[in-house]
Amino acid sequence: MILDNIEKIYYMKSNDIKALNNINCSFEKGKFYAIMGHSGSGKSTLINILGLIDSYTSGKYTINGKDVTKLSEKELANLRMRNIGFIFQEFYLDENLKAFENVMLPMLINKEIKKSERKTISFKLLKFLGLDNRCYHYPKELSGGEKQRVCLARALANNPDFILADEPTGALDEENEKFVFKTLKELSKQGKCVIVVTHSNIIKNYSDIVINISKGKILEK
Amino acid sequence: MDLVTRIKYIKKHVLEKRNIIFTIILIFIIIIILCCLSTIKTFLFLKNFYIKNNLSLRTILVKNPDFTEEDFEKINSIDNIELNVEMIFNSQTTSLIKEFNDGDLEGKITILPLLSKNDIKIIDGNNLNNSGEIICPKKFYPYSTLYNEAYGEKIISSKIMDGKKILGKTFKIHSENELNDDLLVKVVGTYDGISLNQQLDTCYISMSDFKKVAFPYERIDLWYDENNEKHVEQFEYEGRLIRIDKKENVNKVLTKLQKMGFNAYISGVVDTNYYTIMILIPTIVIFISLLLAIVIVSSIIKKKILYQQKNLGILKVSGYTNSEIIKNNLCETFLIYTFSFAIAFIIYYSLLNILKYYRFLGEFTLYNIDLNLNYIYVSLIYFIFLFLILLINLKVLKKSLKIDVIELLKD
Repeated sequence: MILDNIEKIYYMKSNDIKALNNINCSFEKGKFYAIMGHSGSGKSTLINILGLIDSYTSGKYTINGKDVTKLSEKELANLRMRNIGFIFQEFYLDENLKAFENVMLPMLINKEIKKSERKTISFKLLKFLGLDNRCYHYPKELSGGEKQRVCLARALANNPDFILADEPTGALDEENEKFVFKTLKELSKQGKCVIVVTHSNIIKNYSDIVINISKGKILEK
Repeated sequence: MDLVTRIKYIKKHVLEKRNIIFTIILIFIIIIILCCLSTIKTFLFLKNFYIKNNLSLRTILVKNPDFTEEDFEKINSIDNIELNVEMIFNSQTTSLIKEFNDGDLEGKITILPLLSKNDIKIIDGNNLNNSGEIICPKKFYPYSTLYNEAYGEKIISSKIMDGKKILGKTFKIHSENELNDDLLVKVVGTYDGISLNQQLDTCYISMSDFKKVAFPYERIDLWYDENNEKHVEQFEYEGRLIRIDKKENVNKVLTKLQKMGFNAYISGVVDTNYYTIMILIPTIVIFISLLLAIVIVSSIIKKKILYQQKNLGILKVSGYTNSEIIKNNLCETFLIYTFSFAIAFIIYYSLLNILKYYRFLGEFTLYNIDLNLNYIYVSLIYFIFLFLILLINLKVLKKSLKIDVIELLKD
């Protein structure tokens, strides 16, 4: 992932807000990145742009050599499906689906995964995250930590190259927080690019690179 | 996403509270529209019965005590007169027919003169060509119990025979004219009595045969004048029966006759406003229902999609394209609508059968009126509504999908 002079401006009635100002950085596979900063610093905007769920005003963004600006809606969706796994603080699980069905959701549109394999992969991922006894539970029957692990399993469903997490431990206790970071570290060791936006200082124990951001600008790496 | 997977995914969401409310409202609206269409169809049918196909509305009776040859010529000089015959043909006669006796049921028919061959629609056999021929109804009930309360509709309907079965058979009609013998007639055809609103025992013979068997003398007919609240005497056969070519010309001819000094009046009286109102009311209800349906359905779909925005966001984050999300959503709406329509149709059909059971429309229920809508119309309503609902759904959904994913997730 390469960001080249990325700018994000929110056009307001009274005055425009520059959320990101000339962001230049790249993210490599096999590394664990932590993006830190105060509230309103632009870190969430940055990760949303990286995850292709928010647009940018100017600049160039490349994923696996593809210029994102030139991609159609369908190609962007395809890129999200194959290459990016997203984890949110609010989990965003489908309340009508059981844990294993939530994990299966991204696989339903992935033609590379056989129909018969979806459930097996889903169960394997949940087992890997210690939720083998929670597969048939609905989100409302799970604790915060368990929900986040289901969310993590869903992010891993299509075996993406990039795992992006926006405040993944914001709603978790210390034990669950450590579990999530440890798992993400493990994933980065397996060759995935992990990018985490967080306030938590514990992340420094796990991340390879810490990016500090303030007022939409990268201060230091 | 393949169809089976899509349906499995939809199945997981279809029982959401909002979908259930949506289903109930759809069922209610569809029932109202189906019932209104049934009412319109019924009253259009009745209007045809009483107005369009009603020969008595094209018939003027001229009742003058001393009718002369000059009067006859005067009438014939008026344009648009199709038929000018003796008043005797405005009557009917009845005859007991022993060939039709069936256990306790006594064979009996009503006989009318066929004034014009076009007056009836032949179903089997031929129209009247010669003397000694008779045309019976396709649905034939030649018994004296038609108006007998002791005989329920079930007994009557079980005794209705197919007129075709007696084609070629002969029987004697009793003559009320003392000068003539009973008339031997042969059944040569059957006619559609239902579209003419004729009773199930009414048969037609030629005018010449009718004159042989009908009571030939002028007789005093006593009838009650409701306006003046008194009984009035009238000579039944005095005067002429005049048939006008078109209903639109009836009043014109009537005025001319009255100006000529004839005591003329239209034979049939039908309150056309009644049918117009009975058609207009359900039509207005349908339009209001349709407008309400569009407003309510749009509002529900908007709320439903608003409620589902987080799920839309989850799908987009997971890599679903807009077209995949639209397919899922339209498929869900299609299933909900089809289910609602099926339930609404079952309820509507049951309501019709309850109405039939309680003889809501009296004698018409059994013989004449088919309240059920034609399946082609039902299918048409299904597809028109489906199209409307999918269109509303698509419009609302496309608007939602334009929102940034991150905004969708914020819910």
